[in-house]
Amino acid sequence: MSAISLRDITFTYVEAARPALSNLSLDVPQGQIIGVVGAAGAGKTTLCALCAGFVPNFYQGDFSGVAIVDGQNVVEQQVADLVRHVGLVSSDAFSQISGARFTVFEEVAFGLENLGVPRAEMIERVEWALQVTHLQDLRDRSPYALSGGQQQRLVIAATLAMRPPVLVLDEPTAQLDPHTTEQLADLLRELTHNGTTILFAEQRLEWAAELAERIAVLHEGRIVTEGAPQDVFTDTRLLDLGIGWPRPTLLALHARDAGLWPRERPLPVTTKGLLEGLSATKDERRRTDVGQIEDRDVHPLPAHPLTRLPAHEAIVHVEHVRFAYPGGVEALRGVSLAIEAGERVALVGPNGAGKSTLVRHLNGLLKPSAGQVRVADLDTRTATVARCARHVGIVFQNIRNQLFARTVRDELRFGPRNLGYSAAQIESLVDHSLDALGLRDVADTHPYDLPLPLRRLVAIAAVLAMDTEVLVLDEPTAGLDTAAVARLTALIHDLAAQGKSVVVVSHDLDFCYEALQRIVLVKDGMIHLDSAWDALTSDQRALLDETVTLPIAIRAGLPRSFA
Amino acid sequence: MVASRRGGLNSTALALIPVAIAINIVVGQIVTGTPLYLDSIGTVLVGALFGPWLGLLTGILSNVLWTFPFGNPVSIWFFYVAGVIGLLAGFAGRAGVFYRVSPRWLSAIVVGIFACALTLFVMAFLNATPSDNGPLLPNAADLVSQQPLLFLIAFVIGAALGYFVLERAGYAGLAGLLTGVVAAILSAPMAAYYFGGVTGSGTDLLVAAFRASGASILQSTLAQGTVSDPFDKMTSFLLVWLIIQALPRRILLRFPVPRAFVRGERSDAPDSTRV
Amino acid sequence: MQSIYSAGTSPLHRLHPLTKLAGFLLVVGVAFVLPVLAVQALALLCVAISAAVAGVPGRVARMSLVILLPLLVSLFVIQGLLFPPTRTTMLFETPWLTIWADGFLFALGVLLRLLLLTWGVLLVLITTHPADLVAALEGIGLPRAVGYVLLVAIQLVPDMSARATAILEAQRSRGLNTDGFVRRIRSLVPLIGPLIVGALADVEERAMALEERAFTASGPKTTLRELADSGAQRVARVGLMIVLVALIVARFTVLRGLL
Repeated sequence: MSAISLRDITFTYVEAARPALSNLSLDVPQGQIIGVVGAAGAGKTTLCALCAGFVPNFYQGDFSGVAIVDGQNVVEQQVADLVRHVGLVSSDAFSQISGARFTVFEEVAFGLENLGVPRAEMIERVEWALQVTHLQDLRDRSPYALSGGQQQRLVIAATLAMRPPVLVLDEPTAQLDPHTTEQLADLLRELTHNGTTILFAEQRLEWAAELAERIAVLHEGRIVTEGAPQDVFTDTRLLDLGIGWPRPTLLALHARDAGLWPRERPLPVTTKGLLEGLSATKDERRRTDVGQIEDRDVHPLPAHPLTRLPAHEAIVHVEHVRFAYPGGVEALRGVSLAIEAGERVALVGPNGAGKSTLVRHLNGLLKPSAGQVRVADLDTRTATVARCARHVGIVFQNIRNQLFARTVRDELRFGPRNLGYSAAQIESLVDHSLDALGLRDVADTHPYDLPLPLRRLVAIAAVLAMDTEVLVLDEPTAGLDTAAVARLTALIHDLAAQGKSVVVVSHDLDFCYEALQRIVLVKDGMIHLDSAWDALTSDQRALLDETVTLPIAIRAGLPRSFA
Repeated sequence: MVASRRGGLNSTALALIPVAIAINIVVGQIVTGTPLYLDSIGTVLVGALFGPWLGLLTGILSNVLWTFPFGNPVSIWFFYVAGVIGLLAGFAGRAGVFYRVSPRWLSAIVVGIFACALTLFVMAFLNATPSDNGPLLPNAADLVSQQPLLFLIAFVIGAALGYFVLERAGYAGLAGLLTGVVAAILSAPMAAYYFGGVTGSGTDLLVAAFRASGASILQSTLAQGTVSDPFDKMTSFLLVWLIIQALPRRILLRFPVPRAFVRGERSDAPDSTRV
Repeated sequence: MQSIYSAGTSPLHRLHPLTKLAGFLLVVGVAFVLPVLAVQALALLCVAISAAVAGVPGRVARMSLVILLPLLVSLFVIQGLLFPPTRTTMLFETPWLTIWADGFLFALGVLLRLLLLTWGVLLVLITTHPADLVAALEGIGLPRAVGYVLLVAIQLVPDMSARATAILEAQRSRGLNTDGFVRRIRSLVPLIGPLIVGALADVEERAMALEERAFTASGPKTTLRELADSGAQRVARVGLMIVLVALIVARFTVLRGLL
């Protein structure tokens, strides 16, 4: 019997112009793990909400079809009664913390208290949930004192403790770093071995390909294709639908064109598949034609010289900056960095390394305790943030913290208006910025009516409209779909071509490798590495691998032009 | 929505009220140093979205929490005032003040007239004659005829405030001003008897000024409250109006009070009072 | 802004929250029902001794000073110096300052009352975990929903403060100038707007999470947190409440003419 059985589901939200799900049918056998992929607005979140019983009882709208999950008709039941059968974990971990409990342990127990589970059994179940999510050491911490990734694991633990036979996860990796993403995959695999059925929606195609037994592709509320990851992720329709292929698959495609991947071998969908395939090729070549491939092997990266442009004057000078927070924690311990016109810089490093503290120095939000930061001709210790903001625009990670206007256009006007531009200039800057990020069609829409990826682009456009020489983006790819990432990459290249600099703080090393040219590693409040991607030594590569992992392309030893 | 069918404390209300309480306390802290309190924005918001009873609950719990455990010793004694503010905001919400747009001239007239009334009230105090039975208040008509220019200036300032600041939030602004008057009347006895008329904020200077004219502690705190509370509540109602006007319909439709107005706007517009 | 609870193992920490609340209610009763300076001073001494037993006297003193100082300054300036109730007796006089006895005594009365309330509140809150307090109140009939709202709000306040700071940073980075009085007032919308709109946008997910954790499920509930109680404490609580009632009754009968 299927654990999830959906028949001819059509659902239209109140006031929506078109259905979010239309004529959708899906069967998931018990114990299977299925991944749902699709562009933003394809209906992934609605599908997840449906499986957990929130459609149509919580979200109002027109509903037709039959939905049976773990033997329960989800349409006829209240969510509170369904929780014994199906658990839902949404993408924003923070807002799923109940907030009514003060420690991680108690937070996980909250659902069990509400179900009336006896205390002894409750403790046993909580212990188990903490163990499988690797949260034992944090059991007495406040849920709000955890990092985003830890909060995500906490929410999963809280759901697992309720022992639902069916688990639904909506973009579970949105806030996780590469290391934790792997741990989560292991955990989910283990759960399916014990008979749990798992449905997850995901933007990270590589991750989905590695984890799922089956992939369903959603487009405009319909399932356009489904099957094994190997078949689905090499289907060219995905490229047409703006969903794209996993990175390893794309890299292998380039490799095939360059003769590094035999035509007869199927394209890989996982990093492991790519690496194994490439080394197999190498072995074969070594046996047949040694010289040619040896050459490639030793110099996998084209040895471009440092691509800095010495003709340009640096716009931002960070000189021997130290910074200690009032609590006494020294977050920066002697950082020097110069950002020149037209540079594209990646700022990477583990959590708590000092990246966000450094970023806040670039426009004077924080003033150095020692050392100096100069922006254009301004010393940030004496200039106001408003003055520095003319030269350096920062888009912070949490975009909720800046959106407040009624329309996208109004939101974009705020920055240039603060800087004192004339009405005509403001309109021209706003139009230009709308076009640069492809937001023209939604200019009169409310930012909160847009799907998350577009909302992030709005936040970026709002700072772009200030026309600063330096644009700083903090985790810009979090929650973005393939199409939005492509937009962003194009924007960064355009800006650099105009002589403007871009600084990106990110955990997404693959994006950094594809869109940026220089990499700066911050760790323990110091800069440990500052180099062009193309000039990394093997020691530096090892250091990166150890601290933040390496881009897939470098790991596979493929030329930069492939990425 | 499950929420609407059950009514009362459904999951949506349970999710919003704690957030509203936190907004009250945090914004109240942020604006310390300005002559505004703004410690009831969350309460007004809940009233506007869920109606009077949850507004009442939010107001009371906010003031209780600001004392326990955040340690503000004054707040809890005014819990009933905060509750009434939520109640009134709720009735105002049901009357649609947060969902209607007024012409700007109406806002100008509302605040203008209010400024005149306030001036009359303050002048009455300042010109009072101290006596054994408390101050003797002068005749209102005399005051106006003695200093017509003053009242004209008050009207102009009030009208300008209404026209340029309140803009099209005339209905919400009026509701805020009236709520402020009620709040002032309700809080005066508590402030006067238990705290000697002071609450440790900038408005204590006003109390001192009124006391100088010979008024009793009760009269002075009432007069102080009548001057500062209406403008404070007007600002809170205005901010909530601005925020609600800027909210997407999708979010608004989740709450019971706006559902009646936002949807009505589309289907049965004839009886709407929109201008 | 943080909740002021500080963990500890003193006898006061170990008391059942309701016992401490009963004690606090009696203190409030004394503050308002018996406006006799000597009685109030005695009550204040009792609270101070309890604070010493709990090992937190410094903390109570420091926090009460921070909370009360602005209020006390206003109080003494207005009541003691400027405008005494009726100018009967002069307490002392200097060429530039006259302190009136009535105003001074009135202010002293208010001061004692405020100190009693503040120290009492602080002592209960510093020695009782908020979750224990709410659990105890739920035990005597506080609705679960209200208990939930209180606990969530307590945890959200520090987080909202942090968000307010982050919003300020984001908007200043977009050139918002908040220096000066008028600009500060004008900047309220871009600062408070994202706070509230963001919170409202979150409400849906928060409500879903609450349903997902079976908060609204019917049927019996269990609790993880256990409160230590004893027969002696139960008796003490009843005793304290009887004293309080007796005090109020006496105030409006026997002592009516005296005060």
